[in-house]
Amino acid sequence: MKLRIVVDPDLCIGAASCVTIAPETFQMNMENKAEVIDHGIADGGPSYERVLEVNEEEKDTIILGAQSCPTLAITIFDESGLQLYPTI
Amino acid sequence: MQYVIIGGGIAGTTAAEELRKTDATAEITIVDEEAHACYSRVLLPHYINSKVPREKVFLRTEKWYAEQRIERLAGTIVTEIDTKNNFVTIHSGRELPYDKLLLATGGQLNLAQTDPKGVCYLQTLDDADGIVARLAEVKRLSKEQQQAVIIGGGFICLEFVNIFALHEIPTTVVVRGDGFWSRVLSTQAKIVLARQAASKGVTLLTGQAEALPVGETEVNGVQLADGTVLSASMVGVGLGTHADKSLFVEAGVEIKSGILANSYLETNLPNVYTAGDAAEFSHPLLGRQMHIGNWLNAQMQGKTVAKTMHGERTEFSLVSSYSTNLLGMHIVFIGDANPEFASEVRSHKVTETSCVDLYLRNDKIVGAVLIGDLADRALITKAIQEGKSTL
Repeated sequence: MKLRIVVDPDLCIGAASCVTIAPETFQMNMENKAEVIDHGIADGGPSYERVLEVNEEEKDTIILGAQSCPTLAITIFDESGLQLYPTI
Repeated sequence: MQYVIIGGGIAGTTAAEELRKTDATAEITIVDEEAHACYSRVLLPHYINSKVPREKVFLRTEKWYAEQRIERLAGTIVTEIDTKNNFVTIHSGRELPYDKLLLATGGQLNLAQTDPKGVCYLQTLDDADGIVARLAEVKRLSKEQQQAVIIGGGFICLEFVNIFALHEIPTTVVVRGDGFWSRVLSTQAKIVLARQAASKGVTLLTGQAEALPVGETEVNGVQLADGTVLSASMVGVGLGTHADKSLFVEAGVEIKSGILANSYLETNLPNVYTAGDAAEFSHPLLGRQMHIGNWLNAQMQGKTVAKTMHGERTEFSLVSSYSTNLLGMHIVFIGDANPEFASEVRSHKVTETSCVDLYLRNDKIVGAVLIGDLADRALITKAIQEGKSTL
């Protein structure tokens, strides 16, 4: 399945919770903001948004990574554009 | 099964959610001093600074609790914990029997010696509302009267520095020690932060044994030990937290700086657990009792302790980090950055505007503080997790 993952750098405070929980999907940049990477690789350069092909287990980890963000800076959409997180 | 959780913050709420996932029929009750549904305390500065609207700080809705069949007793104080007969009494007199009890009560604020109107704390949403209201009042004063004093030199102090800077309110920080985080940071690190504060026009007064907010109906200054009074129409207080001992000691729960627990977050009493800022737990990787007050630690402890409470005993071994900034200068704490428990504090990098210190114990890197240069953050985190002695 595909997930679209978007980080809002304006909300990100660099707590790096997402990196701790889902290091294959998130890494910190020099501005202390989380960037999205694809299975550990920043293909095509740094980006705050990517569409990733993931399995069920990877999806759970990525959602947990997003849930761990204390400023709700990470939004996750499924293939149909439905927002999976945040749910409120 | 009856689960009672004292504390509705992120640790308690996450635990409740996890318990529901594994037990569809359990009775789950959260006793919460807070009137509000679970919200992100970390988002409060964003709310104060109008970066997010107030409603965006909430992480759960009333509807969510209902859907999850989690009873949340809002604005409710626990008056007694009876660990012999397994029940908790709340202020209305109602008794809540439990099979398993989670203490996720967070920390109690250390208060200033006096707190007339205009003295602000930053722990709860109500505090944040108070800050927003006070800032609006201060902005209506003459330019000369718009002055702020901050008491304390840790995380909350820095939040206040950044808030006041954004509102262009001249600020003086008053600390007991010799700089920001005086008991944690190296001299070099303190110099880098003091320099940053000074370069942005923030005055730092160190070695102040006393800082007493003064004013008849509302605050108009802060008096120091030598009698000097610093003018202030707003005072931010960040003096840390302490464990609210009385209730737990009476219940027979062992406490030091927090509620003592093993690496499974089990307390000294059967069927009583702890998680989050309240917990002082044995950390299997760091090798000592840790009392950690950060978001990820609280959330993941809530998740982990729920497993153990449900019968799948699970150790908590996460090495968490936390990040903040002083007027744009990034600061990151990783693992166990406490010189009291370090055999060596090794300076990794120092420049005029940055400082990276490693904290070692038994020749292993157990913690780090990075200021102004976060390039080695991932490398250092890995070294701590792997118990390495060098990067």
